[in-house]
Amino acid sequence: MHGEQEALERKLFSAARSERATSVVRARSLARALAESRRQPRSPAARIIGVLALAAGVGLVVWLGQGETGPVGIDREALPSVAAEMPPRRASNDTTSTVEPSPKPSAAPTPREPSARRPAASLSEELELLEHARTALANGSAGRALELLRRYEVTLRGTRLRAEATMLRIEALSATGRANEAARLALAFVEENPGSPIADRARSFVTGTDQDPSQEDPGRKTP
Amino acid sequence: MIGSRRAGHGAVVSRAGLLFDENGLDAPEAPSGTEARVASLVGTHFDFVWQLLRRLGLPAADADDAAQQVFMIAARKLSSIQIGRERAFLYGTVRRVLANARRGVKRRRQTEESTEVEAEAAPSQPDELVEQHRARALLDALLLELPEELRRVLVLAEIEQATISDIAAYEDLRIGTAASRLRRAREAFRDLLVRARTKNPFDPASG
Repeated sequence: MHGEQEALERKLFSAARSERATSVVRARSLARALAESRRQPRSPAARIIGVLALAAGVGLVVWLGQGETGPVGIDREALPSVAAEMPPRRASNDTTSTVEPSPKPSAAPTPREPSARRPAASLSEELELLEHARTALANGSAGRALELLRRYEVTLRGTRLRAEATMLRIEALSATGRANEAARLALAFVEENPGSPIADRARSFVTGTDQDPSQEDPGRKTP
Repeated sequence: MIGSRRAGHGAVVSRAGLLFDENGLDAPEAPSGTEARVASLVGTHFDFVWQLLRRLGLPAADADDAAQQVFMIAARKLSSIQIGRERAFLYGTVRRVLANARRGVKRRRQTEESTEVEAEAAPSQPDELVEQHRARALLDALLLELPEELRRVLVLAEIEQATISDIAAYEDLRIGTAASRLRRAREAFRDLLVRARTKNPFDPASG
């Protein structure tokens, strides 16, 4: 009896310890904390350094833009001071422009290579687009959510919140009656990310469908 | 160190990225010194803060909002947080944010509970998942019955797996006092659990 009680206690605490916030919640906390830290007044010296770094960054961007390949996508890792100053502020204000950048005139338009030119999306951009998709889904517009999720992959080429995007896609597919597709995607997600905090949610779509997810694809194994 | 996660000693960007890896997250843009510290703070201590908020009485959605608030406050007061004392600062902030958040929760308690029950009862979920939900719901219900100061030390010990000296530091107690408080918390929790099992046939231990 005493051992049973202890086992139960362990089970309760262990179940609680395994609970985790979603990656979107973590990312949102990070994004807001970073935004808050940027709002802090800086010392005069820090301001001068910031302005000089910004000016140097802008100069470098202009200089690179005059090169033979036109407005090249700048590698943020190679230019940390520019990345730190410029993109996040822009990203939070204008969803449309960040999600679908208007095409810039290029000196020599090469055959389509948009992915090579667009800088990797910022965390704020990814977060914002997924928030829109989540809202659309919550409002019953699963089709719109799928469209936004397609943008996340194709236009934004989001990577940092891919797990959450996949989960949203699974939910949106299920909501539009495409249970088989949802189950297949969920199965693949669980197989690839068995330890993910949202794998449990995905699993419910694998087992939740009445139809065998391998029905349309006989080569695929079932759970 | 309580619930510490693996973290390298390289650039903070890498640390933040590493700590978010399991969720497919990477570090955000290359940060300045302040931003790097904020990123490290969130990356290292997010689970600690969120778990505390959940187990000390907030439903998941409220814990999400409250966690954001905690880290925004920390970002604002970053210069006053001593290196190595981040958790203690966050713990104090959690307690203050929690006090405000609970008022809102109290008002919506009925709605929140019905949502929770629906989530638990969803028939499409595997048994194991349903059982985990039920175990958490039972634990949270029992914790809510404990007096506040006992609940806090029990959560720190059992969920965050804090040592007695950590608990004493967080709660600003002598070590002996922290130990005796934890002992009382465990006894009270056991009594509550025995009573709950007598009243309710549900027993996650049998699964």
